[in-house]
Amino acid sequence: MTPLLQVTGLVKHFAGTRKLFGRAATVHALNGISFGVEAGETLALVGESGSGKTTAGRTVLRLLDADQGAVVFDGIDVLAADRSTLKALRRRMQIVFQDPYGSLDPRMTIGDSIAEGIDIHRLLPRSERPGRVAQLMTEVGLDPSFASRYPHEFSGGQRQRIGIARALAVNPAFVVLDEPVSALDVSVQAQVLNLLQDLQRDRNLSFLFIAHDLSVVRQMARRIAVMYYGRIVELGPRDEVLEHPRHPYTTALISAVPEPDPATQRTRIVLPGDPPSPTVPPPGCPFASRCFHPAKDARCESERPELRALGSTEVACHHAETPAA
Amino acid sequence: MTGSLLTTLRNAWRNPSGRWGLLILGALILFAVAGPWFLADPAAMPALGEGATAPTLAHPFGTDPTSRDILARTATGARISLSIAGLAVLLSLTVGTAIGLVAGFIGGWPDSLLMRIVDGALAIPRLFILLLLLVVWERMPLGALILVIGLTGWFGTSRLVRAEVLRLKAEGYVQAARALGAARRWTIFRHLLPNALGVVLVSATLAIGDVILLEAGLSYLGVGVQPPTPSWGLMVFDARNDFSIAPWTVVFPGLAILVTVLAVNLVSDALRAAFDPRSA
Repeated sequence: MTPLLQVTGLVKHFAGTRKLFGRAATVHALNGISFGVEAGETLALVGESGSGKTTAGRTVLRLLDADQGAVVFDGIDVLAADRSTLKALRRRMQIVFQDPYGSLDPRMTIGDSIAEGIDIHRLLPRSERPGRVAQLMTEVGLDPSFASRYPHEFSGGQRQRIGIARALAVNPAFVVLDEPVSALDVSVQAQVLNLLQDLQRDRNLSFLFIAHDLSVVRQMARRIAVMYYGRIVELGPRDEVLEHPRHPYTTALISAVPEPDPATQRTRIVLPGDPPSPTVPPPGCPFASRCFHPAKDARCESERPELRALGSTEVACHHAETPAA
Repeated sequence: MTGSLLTTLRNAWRNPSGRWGLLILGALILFAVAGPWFLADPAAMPALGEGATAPTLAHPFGTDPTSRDILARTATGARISLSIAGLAVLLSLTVGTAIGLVAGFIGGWPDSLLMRIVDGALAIPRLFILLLLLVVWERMPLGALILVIGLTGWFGTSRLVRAEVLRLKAEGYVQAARALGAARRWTIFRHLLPNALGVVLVSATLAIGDVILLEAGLSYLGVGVQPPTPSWGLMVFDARNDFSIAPWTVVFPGLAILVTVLAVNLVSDALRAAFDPRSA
């Protein structure tokens, strides 16, 4: 079965500011990532800040222009789409942003914000618009009588619901959720996550769920892709990745998740140092400088490991067969 | 949409200082439009040779050394000063906003080109540019003077608007509009322009005071409004030598400038607040 969204070898580099003397440093944000998202499923993209996960989400939606690679959505080449094809695609691929404060225009009523996609694509006659807005607001758990209010009157969680309603207004099949709950309180996080899951079931939505919090990912994802330094280092079914991590970076990430039971013994792996500079890619494994794997050797420094199948997962590590910890 | 202009004005009216500003500004405009019909001929010199007289019932603002009625001259001067200020500022804000929007939104080489032009223009004092133009074109008609003042006043505004647009472009709602398939025009008119308008309003307030004073300075140098046409600035500068013996010759046109700038400030503050849904 071909997935709804297929991403192949996506590369995105940012040209740095040119200095008066010397060349501009290029930031290697995405270094060739590939993944697929099937209809109705959630693929989580996890990794630390700067790992390229947000860039990945934006590039897939063509909010950023890719340098190389392919994005195919339902048989349509997204990166090569002309203006009208792209506009039609925008109705089917949507995004919910991390920041609930910056993502709503302070000068627009929330009704107008929610209906923005309807207005852009002229989906409904004027007379049906208020009814549709009310229906969307109810669907995301907001009181429709608030439609004429302004964003500053709402809490972070409510704003995130507004942002979700705005994305849903054009009836998308695929939504990029760019850290949709990381700016919210834990109690509110759970409500928004539940809402997203309900919406996914009711509308058969596909999610690309970008997150750094593995406990949130555990609740949402069917499959997980772990990103490090602009690459996917491990990709597989949720339980397999979380219970039997093959890449040492995944192991370290999992060890950082807070454990609610104080009686449980666990070892926290603290990674020394920082990832390599994004302007100077190392020749070998980008994780080698921080790797604690007992089998780490000279090959890790010189030869870059490619993603390869191992059981039901794919891993980019020369020593994935040997347990890391 | 927030704000049709009417709603914004109504909100500004609800604000006490905005109401005062609007009332004063309205009175000034009425004074400028209707005043000259009822008042004495501003050019008449009925008692030439008697010198300046202090305010009396017949001449509430007094008369100048050539016995011209200062109230009548202030009213006629209001027409000149207010229309120069209003139209020139409207022109410079429109041009500055448009250029700032284009530069900030499109970026790349058009941005660099426009901003280098602005850099260059800002490096030369405005008065100097104006003097050059006015020396080349003596006895400039009023319309041309407005054009020249307007077209030399947009540089700062374009900078401000560009900076605001750069900030707004990174906001989530602008990205969301793009993701929804919004065309450039939609983004500019629905999101960027309304959100940058606060900056433009502040810029307008500052500019109106500036332009009234600039016109005064130009008139003083003999290259702005040509006597005997009175403008407030010209009146103040004409009377500068009489200040110690006939202070009313300076005080009334000076007060007119002061009150205008003050009223514009009040109105602009109120408009900015009225325009922001957070303070409604």
